[in-house]
Amino acid sequence: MTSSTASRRRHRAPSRHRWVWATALALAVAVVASVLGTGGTYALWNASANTKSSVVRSGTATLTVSPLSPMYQTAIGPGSSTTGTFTVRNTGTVPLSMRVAITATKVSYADTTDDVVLDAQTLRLASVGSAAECHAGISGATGPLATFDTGSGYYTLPPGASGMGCIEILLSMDAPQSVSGAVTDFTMTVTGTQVAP
Amino acid sequence: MSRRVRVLLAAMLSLALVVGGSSAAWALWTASAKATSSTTIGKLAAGIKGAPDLTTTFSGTVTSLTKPLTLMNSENLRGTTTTSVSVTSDSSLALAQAIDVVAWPVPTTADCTDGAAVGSGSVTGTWASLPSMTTTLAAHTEVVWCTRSTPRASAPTPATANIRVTLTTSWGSWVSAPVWGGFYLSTSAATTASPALTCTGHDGNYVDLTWPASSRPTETWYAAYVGDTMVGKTSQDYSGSIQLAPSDFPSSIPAGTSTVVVKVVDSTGAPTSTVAGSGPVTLFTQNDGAAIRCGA
Repeated sequence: MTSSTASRRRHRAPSRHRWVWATALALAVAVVASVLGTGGTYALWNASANTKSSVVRSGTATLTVSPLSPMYQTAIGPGSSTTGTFTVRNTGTVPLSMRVAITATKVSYADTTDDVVLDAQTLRLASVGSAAECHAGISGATGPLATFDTGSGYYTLPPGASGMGCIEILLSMDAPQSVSGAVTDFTMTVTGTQVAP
Repeated sequence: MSRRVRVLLAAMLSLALVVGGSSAAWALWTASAKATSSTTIGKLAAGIKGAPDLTTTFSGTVTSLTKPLTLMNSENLRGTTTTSVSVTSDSSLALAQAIDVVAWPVPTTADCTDGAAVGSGSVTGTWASLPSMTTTLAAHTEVVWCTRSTPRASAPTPATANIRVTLTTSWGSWVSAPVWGGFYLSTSAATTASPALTCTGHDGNYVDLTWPASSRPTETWYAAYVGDTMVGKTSQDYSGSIQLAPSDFPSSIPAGTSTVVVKVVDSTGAPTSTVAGSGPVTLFTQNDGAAIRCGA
């Protein structure tokens, strides 16, 4: 028994110092690599030049609408109409897809309900070259006054361009006489949406 | 569905969503502006002026009455004005039926004179039944109709007719509230409407006017008048007639029908209020020039 214990101790002594050898080897490799790496330095060439200065601006989407010419001066009766013109200008830098809609109405001096007065009136919208071309009987987008809406894409207005619109409001031939004397104020909203690039 | 199929399906769906839903997001610019205006729905309303001026009492000296009647569109909508006549129940319908009426549009009230010729667009009837004096009027405008009332010899005396002229303005199915103007036409017991002249034509060259016999002296002088204008030559009862040719009518009397009234004139040649008779003659043009005929 004693002899076998002594033999085991003799074999264990080398493994206890193995890490020393490994550490030394690593240091040696590091040193060699460092020494080899100091063989020279490198400086890569480079060059640069400036272009002329430039400015990048974002575009704008803006438009203006002129006042509608007076339409109240011509009293309308069954089957007759009144007309008015307005001008839209694309003052931005992107083409706009246009939409025209009636967004508010107000009825006054009526002897009947607002709905009866509004239902009796039809709006027509057309593009014209001049105010002289705006007359009764024009053809174009048509709908009830209170809910008139061309929807998007009615037409496209390029940047800087302008167009004249003609509005005709017609009282239906079978309008009841109870609407006589009524005054209808309305608001027309023109919306331009950037045309998708 | 097996687990392997479900896994495969999920993988394909994920791939489709990733590939299909990964496009760039757009935020398009918009701009808007507003404008306002208003509409006015019109009204209809009618009006009448001058009706009271038609009130008169016919007599031997007042044998005819020519007066303007103004019809108005007093609101802001164009419309067609129509008229109707009626006699109130408390007055003489017989008298209204015995008064002949002719009415025609004239430019102004000043054009409606005793001597004015009946113009185009005339309507004829009696004050008991007169066709509509129909006129289309723009907003806030008016039209003048000249009326000439002449009682027949058969008109009852004494009598009074209360005449109403009612008018409305219409457009399509819309009609204004009716308005009316009224006047009185009377005949007195002491006087009657002037007797009718007897007119004989001569191929358009001239007409002979004779009047009923009377108790006036045969030396009495007579003259024919259109309104206040004397036409032709004076005449005495010896001859009992006045001859009228187109050349006897001054240019102030336009072509067309005129009412000629034969009156007694005094020693100075001025007309008196005594009327011997009245009747219509018409100036016209035929192939050989100006001509005249009896009646309208």
